[in-house]
Amino acid sequence: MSDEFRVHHCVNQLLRLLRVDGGPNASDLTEHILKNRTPFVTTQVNTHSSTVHISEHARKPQEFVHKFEELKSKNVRNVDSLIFLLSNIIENPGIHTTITKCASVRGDADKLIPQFPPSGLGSSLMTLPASGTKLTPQELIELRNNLEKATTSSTLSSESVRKMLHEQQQSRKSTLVTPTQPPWLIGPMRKINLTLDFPFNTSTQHPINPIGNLPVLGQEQEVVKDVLAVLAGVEGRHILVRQGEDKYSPRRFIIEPSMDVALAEMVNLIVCVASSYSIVVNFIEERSSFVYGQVNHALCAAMKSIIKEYQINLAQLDDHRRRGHLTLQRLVFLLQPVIQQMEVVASVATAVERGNCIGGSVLSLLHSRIVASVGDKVSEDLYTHLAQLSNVPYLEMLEKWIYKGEIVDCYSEFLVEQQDKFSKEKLLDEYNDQYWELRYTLCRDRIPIYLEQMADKILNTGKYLNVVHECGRSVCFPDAREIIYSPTKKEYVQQIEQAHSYASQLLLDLLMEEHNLAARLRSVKSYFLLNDGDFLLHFMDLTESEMKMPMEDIMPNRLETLLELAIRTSMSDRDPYKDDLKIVLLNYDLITQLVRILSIDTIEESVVKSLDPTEISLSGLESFALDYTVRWPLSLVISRKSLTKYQMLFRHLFYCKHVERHLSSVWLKFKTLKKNVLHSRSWFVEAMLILQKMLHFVQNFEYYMMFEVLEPNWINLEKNLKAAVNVDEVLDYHTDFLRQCLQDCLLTNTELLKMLSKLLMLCVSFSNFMQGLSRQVDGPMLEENLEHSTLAGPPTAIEIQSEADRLATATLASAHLDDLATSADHQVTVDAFKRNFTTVLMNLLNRVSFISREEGQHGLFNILHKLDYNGYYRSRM
Amino acid sequence: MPREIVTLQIGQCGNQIGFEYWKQLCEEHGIRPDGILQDFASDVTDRKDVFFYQADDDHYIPRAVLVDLEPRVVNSILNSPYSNLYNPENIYLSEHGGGAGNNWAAGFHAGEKIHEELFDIIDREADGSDNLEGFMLCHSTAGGTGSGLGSYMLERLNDRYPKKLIQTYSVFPNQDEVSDVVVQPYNTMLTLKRLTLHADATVVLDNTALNTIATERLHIQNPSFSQINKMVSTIMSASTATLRYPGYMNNDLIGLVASLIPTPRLHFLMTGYTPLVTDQALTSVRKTTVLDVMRRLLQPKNMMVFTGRERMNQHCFISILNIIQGEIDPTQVHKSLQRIRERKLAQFIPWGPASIQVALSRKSPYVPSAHRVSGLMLANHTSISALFKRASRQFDKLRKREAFLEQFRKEEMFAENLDEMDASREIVQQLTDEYEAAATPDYLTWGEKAQ
Repeated sequence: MSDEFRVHHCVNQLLRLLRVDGGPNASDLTEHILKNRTPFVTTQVNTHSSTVHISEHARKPQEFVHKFEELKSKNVRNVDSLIFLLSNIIENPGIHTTITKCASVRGDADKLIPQFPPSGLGSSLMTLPASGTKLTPQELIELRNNLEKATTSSTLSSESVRKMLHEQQQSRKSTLVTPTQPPWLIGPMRKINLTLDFPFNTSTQHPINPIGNLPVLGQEQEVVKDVLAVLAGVEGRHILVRQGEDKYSPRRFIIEPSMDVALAEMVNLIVCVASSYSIVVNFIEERSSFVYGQVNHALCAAMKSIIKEYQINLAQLDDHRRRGHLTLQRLVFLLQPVIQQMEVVASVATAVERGNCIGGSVLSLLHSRIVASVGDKVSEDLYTHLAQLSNVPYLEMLEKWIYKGEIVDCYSEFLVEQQDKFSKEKLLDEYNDQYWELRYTLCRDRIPIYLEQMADKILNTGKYLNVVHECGRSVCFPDAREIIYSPTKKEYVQQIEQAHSYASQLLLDLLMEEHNLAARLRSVKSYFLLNDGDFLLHFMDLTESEMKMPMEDIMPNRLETLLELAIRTSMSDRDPYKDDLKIVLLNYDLITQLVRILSIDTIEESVVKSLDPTEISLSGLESFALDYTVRWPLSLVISRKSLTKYQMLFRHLFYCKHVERHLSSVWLKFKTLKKNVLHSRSWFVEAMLILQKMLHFVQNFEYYMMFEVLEPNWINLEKNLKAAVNVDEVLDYHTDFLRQCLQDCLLTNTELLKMLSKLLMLCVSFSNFMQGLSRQVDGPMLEENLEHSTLAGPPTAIEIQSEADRLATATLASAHLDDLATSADHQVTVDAFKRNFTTVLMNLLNRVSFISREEGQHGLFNILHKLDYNGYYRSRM
Repeated sequence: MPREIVTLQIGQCGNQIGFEYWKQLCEEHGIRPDGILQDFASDVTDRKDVFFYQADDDHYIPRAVLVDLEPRVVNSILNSPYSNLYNPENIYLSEHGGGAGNNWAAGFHAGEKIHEELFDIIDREADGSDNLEGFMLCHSTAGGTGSGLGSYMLERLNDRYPKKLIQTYSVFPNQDEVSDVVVQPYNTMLTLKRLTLHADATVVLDNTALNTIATERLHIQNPSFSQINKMVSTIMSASTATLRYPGYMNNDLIGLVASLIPTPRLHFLMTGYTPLVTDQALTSVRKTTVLDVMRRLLQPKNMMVFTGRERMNQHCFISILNIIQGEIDPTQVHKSLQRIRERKLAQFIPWGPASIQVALSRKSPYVPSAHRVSGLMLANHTSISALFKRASRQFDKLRKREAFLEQFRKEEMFAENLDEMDASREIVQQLTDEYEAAATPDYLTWGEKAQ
């Protein structure tokens, strides 16, 4: 869901940036992209051929390759997919020219800096169909911008990064404070010699001692001693150490120039180990601080143990030296295996630091290193060793999450993040609450590569368990086994799958069996969608006078009592959940509400907003709606949002029912007139026939909504719910159901909605006219029962209709109010009603047929068949 | 607060079909003949209180008033297992027990005499309901009591309860065979006037068609009264199904009736029912799909009114309501409607929107049925005028000869002149004309021309 919005947002941005007018609109593109994308294959693109391809076309191939290498070394995510994309663009001249044109049109391109969704770089890139061929040119620009951002951010100094990280964590986890380290251990105040590394920043520089005056043998003794010192991180007397460009570039060694050339060469072979050692030790010391998180700590620990081995090794070598057995040549020989080992470790340290990796990305890095080092047994083993140890804390978190649904993640490393601002309590009363979508979210850039395919499953597993947990039940996954990382054996996949299926079953059972979701929904349906018609009928009978009153005068308690009475005396009495039904009086009517919702993001928005709903006094009928008490965890499914949709449907149906009732009461009133010879007053026959047309319209429209929209969709929903295997599916089905119902009941199309409300309004005012007439025709006998006059007030949606419409309504209303004295006047009024009604209805039918043809909403076509079964209106078009 | 409906059963025929009707309702709702609810029926969602109320001992009592001027049929009811079902106070038998002698006028005047006693009962029933919606009147138009007393009741009910609906189930005599009631045409004509002017909806049950259907469709050689009555009770119970098993729509009588009747006088409804079964249950079980049922309902031979087929194509439907019972997927209904529309299986009026309205209703779980789907059609069809013409013709034949009028002249209404007869004939002629006009595009202006 959120993915969809993000893609939509990105596409919108692109369209705006490129000033693409016309052509496919954003939602179509979004849909297309969503349909064509394949999830999470971003890392599996073979970039080699792509790089070759691009460098062939590049104006400065060297520079490109250089830049590429640099990006790679910084371990920037998605470089591969970008490269792939670029090479695709080059291959496709059409796109190429489009972009070039756009770029030139834009001229100063940097003026427009796109705004990224809060999820940031990683996630927005993730939504691209990496291997899909259908990449829109627009995406390129964004990629470029993203990339720029990414590269600039990674060049920050480690010092500021740490500070930033620390601040981030502090602000995010106000309850969980990361401990601070003493100032003498870290930062600029650090004690200079409190390190295993070379003390680079010392102000005292040793002078280099000349050695050339000694004999070669004597020189060797000295040099071996010096080399061992250098290997242990201490400057020698004849070999000095200088830092490279930064802390992680290889150290420079200054060998006393008068040293014997052969010795100097051999020293040169060895000092690279010292350089690696220096880098590693530096890494360990820096990355052990709290802010870098558990994975870094584990990695450091693993490196530390390697360094310990190394130091033991050195100690042994020194022992040899003291006994006089160690020559420089022997030293070189003995150090051979160590050289590679230290190099590997150092390269890890460098990469982690360069990429500023934390948590999952460290693991990704190690994993890709393992994959890349196939064939090189030593490095592979070493990488594997490091990876396995670094994975331990991460996988522990994973276990807690997928087995228990808990997050223990004080350094925000885990791929799932908990947002405390979304609480389940809000589900009950906040329309826009997105507990389910946003309470736990995936952080794409924290996912280790090898878990990418599983990320969604992992997220859901914990989410499900968490809900069960929130219901106050303990969760215990029966086959909880330790998850162990292994680059080749993918046992963890199976374990996650198992946990996932267990969790989804558990939650589904909880909702379906224990909380009886299906029965609940049925109960909600029977009230809100008027499935229990007798209940509604009684309720309308009981509340007839209340509904006419202005909203302020209605006593909600009384309505509540009547509601209960209606339930008790109808079939609904058997519903076990009947006590959860409530009533609410809303201070806006349905049409206003819908028009408001529909006008969001359109030009009319401001117009609609400026209307103050409180200006119009609403009758009980207009403000009335049902409400329903939902408890956790059912509120996940029947959230405020869904309830509001149910309410909209209810109010719509309720109003139609009301109109039907109103028309029927007119029918009832005039039935006695059959005793007279009717056709002496032909306008009267006409009036009866209009009444008939209106009844026909209302009843058939009701039938359409109930039996061709609600019921089939409901049957579908029930079927789907039975087949659903997890809660996300349940939610999707339910949302789909409501969306489809709203759409097919014409509640999502402002234009149709206005016509519909106008038709219904015409029905009501015609009824009122006829009621008034019945008083005249039959004298005081029927007088007592004049009703619903307050309802003549046009719905507020009229406000936003054009001025002409308003005038028409006004004349109608006044025509109705001016007591019609003569039969000729009646004739005029009746004709006006007839004309109006037929025109609006035919407009509606026209529009519906247009929409169903053009937009492929075939469901709507049924309205035509329903309302004009015998082709009466069609023959008049 | 149910929308109660009080049933009035008048005369021999009215009580017979009423008896079958209550038997049917009891079966459908799991009520034993003595009014006690069966154990298995205790937790079902239906509405019994529209047609029943509960006595202090919880037994269900029909909201029915049984009226006859001779005791035979009512006594047979009281000797049946259902004797304790009815409220004994609601049974009115004439003290003389002589009946109306098949004379409309006698029945009508008997009504004047027993007026107070009858309306005591009816008022009590009406007051006993929370929100009375209307009356259902069962009678025949041929005999004396059903037609005469029935007519009287219609007039009075309309005066007394002008805002309540009055629906009648009127059995029209078999006009194929020579009846033992020679004054039948008079009776029918005089009753038709009251039905036209005082009933709000009349379900026409034509014995001619009922007999034909029994012999031709059900293969019963000499259909007995009880077999015919069984068919009638099936129709009556099906037409009230949506009131008793409420769903999305059509949960009150007005909702069923209002859209069927465009102008107040055109309120004579034909019915059709399929699949029909008999007690012998030898009819082969057919495949019943929604389309099948709806298609069969449109066939004239399944109509329970004999209209003569020759002029069918000039006539058309003013409105149709199909009550479909069973476990139905609404999309099936939709498809069937499409098919019928495409094939033009139903001809509609040219002067207004009309459609086949469908009311979906559940079936009683207690009455086993071999059929998955069953359907009742209530239709307002202009060819009903054939029935009125037939009645008029027979009336004219007798009237011209002034035959069999002695019995009528004995009564006050006809003592001086026979104006009432001619007035009735006039009203029926108007009705016939109006129905014929409704089949033409210029129905709207028909009244003006008549002026």
